[in-house]
This record gives sequence, structure tokens and C-alpha cells, in this order.
Amino acid sequence: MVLWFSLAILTGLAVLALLWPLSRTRVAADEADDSVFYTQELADIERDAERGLIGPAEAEAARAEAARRLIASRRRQGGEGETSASPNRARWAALAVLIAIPAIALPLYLRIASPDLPDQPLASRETAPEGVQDAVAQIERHLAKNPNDGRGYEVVAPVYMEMGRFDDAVRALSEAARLLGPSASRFSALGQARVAQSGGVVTAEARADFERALSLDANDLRARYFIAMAAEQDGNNAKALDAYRTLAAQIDPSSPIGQAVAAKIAELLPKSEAGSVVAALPKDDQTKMIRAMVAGLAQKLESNPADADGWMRLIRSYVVLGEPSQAEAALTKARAAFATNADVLRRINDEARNLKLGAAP
Amino acid sequence: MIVELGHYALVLALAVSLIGTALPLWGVKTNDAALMRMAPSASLVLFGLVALSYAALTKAYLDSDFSVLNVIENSHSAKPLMYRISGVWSNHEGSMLLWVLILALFSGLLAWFGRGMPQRLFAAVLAVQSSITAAFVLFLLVASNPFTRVAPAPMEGRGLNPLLQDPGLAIHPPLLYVGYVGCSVAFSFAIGALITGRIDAAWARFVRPWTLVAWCFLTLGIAMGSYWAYYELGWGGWWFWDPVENASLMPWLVATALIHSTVVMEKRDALKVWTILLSILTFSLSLVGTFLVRSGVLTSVHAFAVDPERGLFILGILILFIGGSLTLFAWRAPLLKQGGIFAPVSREGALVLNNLFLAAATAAVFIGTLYPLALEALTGAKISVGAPFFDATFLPLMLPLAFILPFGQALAWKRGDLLGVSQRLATALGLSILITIIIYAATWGGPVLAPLGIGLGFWLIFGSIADIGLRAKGHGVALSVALRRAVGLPLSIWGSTLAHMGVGVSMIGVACTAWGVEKIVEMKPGETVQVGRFDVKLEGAGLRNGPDYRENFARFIVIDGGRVVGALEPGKRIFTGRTMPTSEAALLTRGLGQVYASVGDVNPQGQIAARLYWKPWVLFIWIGAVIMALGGFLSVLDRRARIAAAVKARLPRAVPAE
Repeated sequence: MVLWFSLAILTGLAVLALLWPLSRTRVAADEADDSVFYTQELADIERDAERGLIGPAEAEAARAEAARRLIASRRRQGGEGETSASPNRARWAALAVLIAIPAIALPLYLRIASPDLPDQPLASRETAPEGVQDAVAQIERHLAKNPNDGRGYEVVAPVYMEMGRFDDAVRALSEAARLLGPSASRFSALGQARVAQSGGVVTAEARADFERALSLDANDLRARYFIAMAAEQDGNNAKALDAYRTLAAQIDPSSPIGQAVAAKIAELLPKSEAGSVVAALPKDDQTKMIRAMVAGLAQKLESNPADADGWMRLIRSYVVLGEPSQAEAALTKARAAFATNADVLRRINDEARNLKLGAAP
Repeated sequence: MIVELGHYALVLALAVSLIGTALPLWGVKTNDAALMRMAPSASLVLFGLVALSYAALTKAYLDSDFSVLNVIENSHSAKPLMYRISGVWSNHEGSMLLWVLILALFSGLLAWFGRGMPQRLFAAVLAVQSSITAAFVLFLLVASNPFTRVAPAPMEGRGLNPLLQDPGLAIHPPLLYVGYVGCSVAFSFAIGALITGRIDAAWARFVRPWTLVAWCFLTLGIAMGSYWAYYELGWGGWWFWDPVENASLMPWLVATALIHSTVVMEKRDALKVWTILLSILTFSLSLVGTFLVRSGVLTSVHAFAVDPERGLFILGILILFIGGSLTLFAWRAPLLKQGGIFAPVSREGALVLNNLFLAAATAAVFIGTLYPLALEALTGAKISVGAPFFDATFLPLMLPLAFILPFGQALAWKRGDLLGVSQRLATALGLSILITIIIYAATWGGPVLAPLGIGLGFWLIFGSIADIGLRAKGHGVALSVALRRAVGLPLSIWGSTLAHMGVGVSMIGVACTAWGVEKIVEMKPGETVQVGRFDVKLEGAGLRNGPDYRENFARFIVIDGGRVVGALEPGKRIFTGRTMPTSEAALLTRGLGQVYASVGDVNPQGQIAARLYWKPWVLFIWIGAVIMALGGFLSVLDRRARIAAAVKARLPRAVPAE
């Protein structure tokens, strides 16, 4: 509320300041006169001549030239005529200011800004409890003095993860692995930190860490989970689903990782179950069937456009089927459907970028 | 709320700048005084809005408000206060906002101080300024918005590019931007003159102080940038013909030509069309510079914005303003009333020669800078045009220019007497030649061209002194009278003399680099290397922590004639926000020369790779530039160069001779 009030005041002030010169009726008489300039030039020549810097003949010529320019300037000013001030034009101008300023500023602002986000200065935000920060600072001081204390790095790493300081977590875990020697849990933790660092993508570096962890302990759950995720991110849904399923069979379904795995299976199941049925059909029928399924999905989304995952599946399908224009069209529709939902929009745009489709508008 | 208020102020600035362009121009067309009066109001409002917007972004940086994307990407809560303030302009979006702020500041100053100008010209000039502001505000809002928000906000930012975390960077861009953007005023004056169809000696007087201010800041900005590259990049040179450096050099060369041609226009009412063209070119080259740096077409350390969308947008602005202004020029310039003709041997003739040399030098730099880019864009071939090209094209143009400079300065307006001038400058010339010969004798077997360069530098300095002396002395008067007269000479005379001496000083500094010593060595602690007349001993290496970086440093002791004169601690820093190492050179100033050290990695044998230089008189290069800028400022202060308001004031009683 305060914001809108301030914006209104700011607009009002700007409009008033623009209208003010229109309201003054006095026609300005402050048209500058060049003659002062030339009069001064004549005085300069006079002075130079007095000091003998220029000879009498040069001075005479310079005087004549300055005088000629002065006369020319006077004549030109006469020719330009008086300035006018038509009340009619002023009214139109005022109207233009009154309409154009808000009409340009407000819609543009609403389109590009986030008026409902408050300022979030760091000092006023709920940061990690002071005790934790103190403890981290203490460990950091300790490590600065004893840079070879692997245990210290290992202790502080999870706290870094918790605080979102992923770069520091990666560094601490690398140090820990280097100083304390390799172990499956250290490598998988390092891999997890790398995934967090790259915003959830299992990078080649992270994958190498997980594979190293698995070579030390084939049963490291975290490494297996992320390897499955890597397969999923590669687009190999069947392999990912397989991996998730074996994982699910071995762990407590109520544990956090168990729940994460169950969610992954639920998400992947429809995609690859349908896939395996289709795979059993002959080639021609396969294509026909896939097209029918895609058409069905498209229809479903027309009537119920609020299904973000559905849209992404549709876009991906069109790309796989080699119909980029259809994919683009679906992308546009998906963006329109989630125009107000920034999070989903970002996901859609990310997907589009992965598929090398049209850039975000 | 402050952030959003700043964002809105920027949006509002767009609307106001559009109004401030359209209505005053309508006023100029219909000769309507009320509409023309809107121009200064709009410019002042515009400045207020942009300043508010900039203040809001600065506050977000000071508060580490990580709900602003720009703050996340370029700040860090551990960053010292100074770099939080400079962090605002050390990234693409923020620096463009600073660009617009300075543009609005110039418009505001013009609106405030230019009220004595002819009304139509005044309104047209401010309207053109508003249109430039509109284009760049639109660019900010559409393609480089510094106020983009993020929800939820992260707890920590990514930190400033460590190369840029340096006091040099804190000052360099604002200086350079004041220079670049100041050129817009000359541009707007040129367009204003083309629109109103009126240009005369008074126009030249109005535009001159603005061009001078822009030139001074450009000079300081380039010098600062050069010094920054010298000590921060650790390459040991002071000018690399890097495209980004050239991008700032080109407007400087044309602006130098412009401040000289406006003098001719003011004194002789000539060179009108040429001056208009130079005004347009100066700002066009500033825009080209902005484009080169901001679009990321260059892959050098400066190009920290890489985004084709932005590049295309700036290219659009470039085409609009350069193309538009040149079209207007082609259409309207023939209608301008031509000034008088003049004799070749005269002050104005010499200034034309100066303009020709400077224009040719600009063309050389322009080709050397843009040809590789154009070639790469067209054929994909990557070539690099380096120092040899510029040494072969730029220097042959600059050296004769420097040689004829004192002659031109001493020639009289209208009809000069070359023989008389030569006689009067004979002492200065003789002294310079003598110095050159002495240096040759003293350094026999050393560099061949450098003594000539030093002689040329002294020739510029002595020539300037001789000029002041002659002006003060006139036709043989007593010394006391001459001194009194010298003190009473117009500031613009002192200013130009000082600026020309600055050129000489810089030239001496550049020539002296020929005697520099460079040693690239691998050293173990305890070892000593001789660098010039110094012995540099490596004491040891270590690790230390800064506020937001860790540094591997080496400690050298510098020994001069058996006596320890100082220590050098160059290092390599790794910043916590970004895992990117930067080298930190160390300098030890002895007189006007510097011992310079930068270190590389430690090799497995425990040796440290180090570059050690002795650079005699190197500080002259930058001192000369500062003297040039001081000369420029002195000229601005000249009462007769002051803006119209001063011209209208009561005539001064005793204006000394020129």
C-alpha cells in the first residue's frame, strides 16, 4: 500500500513539474543576444592592439570582420521572428503529458516489476541461528590455523550445505577426502554438494564422484540415488526407473531417501510403462500409436491447461517426433497457461532451452 | 519497497524522456515558447528520477539485498563497503545505469546553466539529450534490467569479479563514463544546430566548455584505465592496443580535434560543417566504444557482459543515432551558412593540420580495432592486429603532429609569419636538440629512437613555455611587466599551454620505457636477481587471508647500492565468492621510476616464477595525462569559456591579450 502511494506521488510530482512551464503565461523575453559575444570580441581586439600583439593593419581587419559578423547575427535574429505561445497547443501538450506519463509507466512497470516483493536487506532476514554461525566461524578460524585437520572439514561441510554455501561445502569435502583418505560416504557427499552447487544437475564431475563412491561400496545409497537421477536427466527413463526400483526394494520407504525414491518412481512410471507397451509393437504401429497418444495428451491439455508436467511431456514428444513447429506452438501455449506462475515458467523455459526451442520472450 | 521505487523511477524516466523529446521538438518546429520551456523542466525531472533509481540500487548493494538478481550476481556479504558501492557499476546492468545517470546529470547541468542560450537551440539540444536517455533507459528496462528480483532470495551472493575488486576499478569507469557521456552534449549541440539551421561563433562558445569537460574526464579515465591494467593485470605494460583501450582512445582523439576546431569556429567563424561532423563523430565513437565493451563482441577481460540480445539492442541504438545523425547531417549541413576562407600559414591553418592528423590517427585506430572483428564476423577467421600495426600507422601520424604543435601554437590568427615564429622558437628548438644530443652521447649503443622521443617531449614543453613568454613580453617590455602580464593571461592560454606540456611529459615517459629492464626468472628463497641498478632478493613465500580472499604471496627485498630500499609483496589471490585466481603485482616507486614484480606459480622444485621489471621514469606517462587534464580544467574555468550566463554578464574591465 505504502509502495503504491509512493509511486502515485512520484508520478504526480513528475507530471506537475512537466506541466509547470506550460502554465506560465509570460512569454519569455530571455532570448539570448549574440551581440554581447561580438562586442566582447571587439574589446579583445582593441586590447591586443594596444599591447602591440597585433599590428594596426591586422587590428583594423579583425575589427571589420567582427563587425560584419555582429551585423549578420543581428539580421539573422530579426529574420527568425518572434516566438509564439498558442494556448491551444499548450492544452494539447498538457493532455499528452497527463495521458502519456501514466499510460507508459504503469503498464510497463506492472509487466516487468515485482511490486509485491518487499526489500530484503540481509541484516533483517532470518539467518542461521547465531550459535551455528559462531560455531562455523570458530571452526573456520581453527581450520585457517590447522589447514590439515580433515576431521574439521568433514564436520563443517554439512553445516555449509544447510546454509546453502555449496561452494564452501564442495571445497571442505574435497579437503576432507584428500586428508582423511577415500571413502564411499565422503565421495557421495562430495557429489551431492556438487549437484547442489550446479542447481540440481548431476554434472560429469559429480557423476565421477558417485562412481568412485560406488567402486568403494556398491551399496552406497546416496550414490545410487544420484546415479539413477543422472540416467533420468540423460533422458533414459527406463534405466532410471529400474535403478530407482532396485533402490526402493532395499530401503525403508518412510526414510527421507525412501520417500524421494518413491516420488521419483511415481513420476517416471507412466512415461516408461507406456513406453514398454509401445516398444512391443511393430515399427509402423508404434509410430501410429505414439502419435495417437500425443494427440490425446494435446487434447487433454487443451481442456485442462494447468498441467505443467503434461505440457513438458507434450513438447518433448513433438521434438522426438521431429515436429519442431508443433513443439514451438505447444511451448507458446504452455507459457501462456503459466504466464503468472514464475516458478513453472522458469521450468518450462529451462526445458525449452534444453530442447533448443525458441528463447523466452 | 525502496528497490521497487527505484525500479518505478526508471520506468517513469522512460516516459518523461519520451515526453521531453517530443514536446520541445514540437515547440522548436512551431516556435512555441511554452513548449520549448518544457525541455529544461523535463531534463531536471529526468535527472531526479534516474538519481533516485541509482540510489535505490546502491542501497540494495549496501544492504546486501539478495532479492535483487544483480546484487546476488555481483556482491557478497563479506565485501568491504567501498566495493559494495563500486560493485554497483562494476557489472553490466549497473554500469549502464551509471551511464544513464551521468547522461541525465549532463542534461540537468545543461538545463540549469544553459538558460542564457538562444531558446530554440536550447530546447533542441535538451530534446536530443532526452532522446538519447530514452533509448538507453529502454535498453536497461528491456535487455539489462538491474532491478530484476528473485524469490526466494538466496542467503549469499556470488561476489564481484575479483579482477575488478580494486580501487582502480572503483574510479576508472565513472571517470571514463563522464568522458564518454560528456561527448553526448557536443553531439546534441550539433544536432540542435542542424535542426534549428543556425550555427555561428556563439554556438562554438556554448559548446566548448562541455566538450572540454568531457575531454578532461576522458583523459583522466584513459590514464586511470591504463594504470589499472599496468598494475592489476600483471603484464607489465602500460598500453596494449587492446580493443577496449582503443575504444576509449578513438573518442579521445576526435574530441581532441573537436576542442581545437571549436576554437577556429569561435575565432574565425570557419570550419562549421567540419566541427558539426566532429561533434557527431565524437559521440558516435563513444557509442561504438560502449557497444564494443558492453555487447561482449570482444573476448577480453573487460567484456564481462556476454549476451547477443544486448549486443543487438546496443547495435540498434548505434544505428539509430549514428545513422540518423549522419543522415540529418547530409541533409542539413549544406544549408548551413559557410564561414570565411583563410590562409594556410596561420593559427587556423595549423589547427586544420592538427585536425587532419588526429582524424587520420583515429581512422588508423578504427581500422586496427574493427577490421579483425569485421573479418571474424564475415569469414570466421581470427586475426589479431597488435602493436606492430599501430606502431606503423599511429606513431608516424603522432610524431609530426607533436613536432609542428609549438609552431601552430605560436602562429597568429589570420595571417601568420612562419619565419618570424621559427625565429622566436629558435631557443626552445635549440635546447631540445641539445638535450637529444646529450642523451645520445650518454646512452650510446642504447635505443635509437627513444632519445628522439625525449627530445620531442622537451620541444613540446619548451615550445609551450616560449609561447607564454612571448605573449607576456609582447614588443620588448621590462621583466616585471612581463611577469604581471603572464599572470594576467587568460586561463584558456595557460590551460592550452599546460595541456601541451602534458603531452610532452607523457611523451618523455613513453620514450623512457625503452630503457626498461625485464627479467623473467624462477627463483628460490634466498636467491638474488639483478634488475637494472637494483638487486632483488626473494626472501620467502607464504599464505595469508584477506577479508574475502586467500593469497599466496612472495616477499622480495629491493637493494639499491647495497642498501635495502623497500620490499615487494606480489601475490596470487583466490576470492571466496568465485574460485578464480587473480595476480596482484607489487610496485616500489623510486623517484619517478618503479620496480615492478608479479609472481606466478611455485614449481615442484620449490621455485617461484617471477617477472621483475625496472621501469625508469614510467610515472611520467600518467603524470603527463594528469597535466593535460588539468590544462583542460583550467580552460573551462576561463571566464570567457563559461556558459552563456557568463557571456551575458557585465563585460570584464581588463581582459588581457590573447
